[in-house]
Amino acid sequence: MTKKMRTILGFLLVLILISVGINLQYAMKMRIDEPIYVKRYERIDVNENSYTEIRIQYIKDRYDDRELTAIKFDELDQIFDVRRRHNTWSPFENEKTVEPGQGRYYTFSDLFISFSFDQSLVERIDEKGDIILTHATLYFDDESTLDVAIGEVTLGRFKVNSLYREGASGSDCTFEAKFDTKGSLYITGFDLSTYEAHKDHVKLSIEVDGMRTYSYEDMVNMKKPIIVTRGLEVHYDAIKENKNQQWRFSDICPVIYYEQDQKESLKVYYNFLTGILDDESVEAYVKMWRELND
Amino acid sequence: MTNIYKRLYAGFLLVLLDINLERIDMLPDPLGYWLILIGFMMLSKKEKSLDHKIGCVISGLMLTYSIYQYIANIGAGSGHLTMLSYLSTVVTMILSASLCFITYRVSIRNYRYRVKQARIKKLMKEADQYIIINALAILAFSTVMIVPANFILGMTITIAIVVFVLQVRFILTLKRIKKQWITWAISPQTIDLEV
Repeated sequence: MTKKMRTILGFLLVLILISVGINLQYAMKMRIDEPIYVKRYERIDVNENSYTEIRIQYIKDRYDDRELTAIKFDELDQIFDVRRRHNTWSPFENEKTVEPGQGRYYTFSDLFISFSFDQSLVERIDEKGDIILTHATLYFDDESTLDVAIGEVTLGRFKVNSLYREGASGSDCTFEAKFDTKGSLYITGFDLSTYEAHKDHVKLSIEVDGMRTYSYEDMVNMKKPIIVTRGLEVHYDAIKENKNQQWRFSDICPVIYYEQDQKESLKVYYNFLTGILDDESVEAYVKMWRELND
Repeated sequence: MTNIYKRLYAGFLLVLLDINLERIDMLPDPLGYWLILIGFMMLSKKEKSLDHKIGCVISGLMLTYSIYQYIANIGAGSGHLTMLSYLSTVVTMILSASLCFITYRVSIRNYRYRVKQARIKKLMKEADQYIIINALAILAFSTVMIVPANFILGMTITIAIVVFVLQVRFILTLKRIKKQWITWAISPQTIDLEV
């Protein structure tokens, strides 16, 4: 081996060692102490003796062995056992050994609870109005617990307001929800706080009466009420056309305040369930969580 | 020397090729590393050299690690990248590349009084290309914990293809060298085979 070759090889070896050191340090920095609950905004219309599933998704550190066993919502007395979905098939290993959502730093868990609405719950809603679940306690198999914000799950009776959902459609990178009105009404304001963290990744706009389009900036800087005579559409468009941005739609819940005979508000829910998040989405979620919490 | 190269060739071939049936490798890597270790031990007995000693140590380490992998049934395609698997992959890649490079060097030294200088230079050039490209591939792989998640799959596939091509080239060269030593064993003349 020539001296020149030895120098090149030595230099490359040093670079590899430096790179390994930096990579391991970065991976250590990416670790999280406690699981992160994947927030969700949805409304469930309650009927007597009906059953529904609520999706429970959380992200934990790759080396965190704890498993979620139960969840208790602060606003309800019952403790719900969480259930695991069947593992997906992988061409590399047999289906029983594959943990879906295992990435380089984190493990993504996709679980669900079965919700049954008995008479007492329906009566409670009829008497006191919607039950809004915002916080919960997670119970893990090592008997540890964790208090988390879950987003907002509203349990309520079906009712038709002056502005009501007519339909929704979506693709990998877009979502649009259509709303119709009963007569003319005035939009007086917006609460776009859940959108703030995603504004660099998702373009939000509303189209009123099929003619006038309002961007996020227009909505924030709105000076006079917007009149709606027929209906409106709310659009989410991923800025980077990549289906891995789709999870952001579940994390956005704009509120539209409007007036007709009385003041009312409308929450825009993304009604397509985001499935198992891939590594890119999971890492983006944790990054966003860090920015909001650190 | 013929027997040594037969062992080295068979050993490297077993390590390179994987035939999996029900997740069990029918061409087990530990057997391959065992043959390579025997080959280097035989070379060590013939001639005391640092390269031979390093070859013995690396093939011994790789034998131990491959036995652990084989028993624990850790497949290369498990797809779970952790800090530990990352570190072990980088170390394995470095050791594996070093072992092949040392085999190149040993073969070049064994050729020194037997073949024309041009042929030796050609083999040296191939060995240098092998180790430099491999080092660059390892350097690229070493960034896998830090690059954006959507790059990982494409990057690891590219690195795997590059390393595989280098290994195939190395195996073919080793096969020619083995063939050459067989020819010399039959008829001890100066070689004319393309190395």
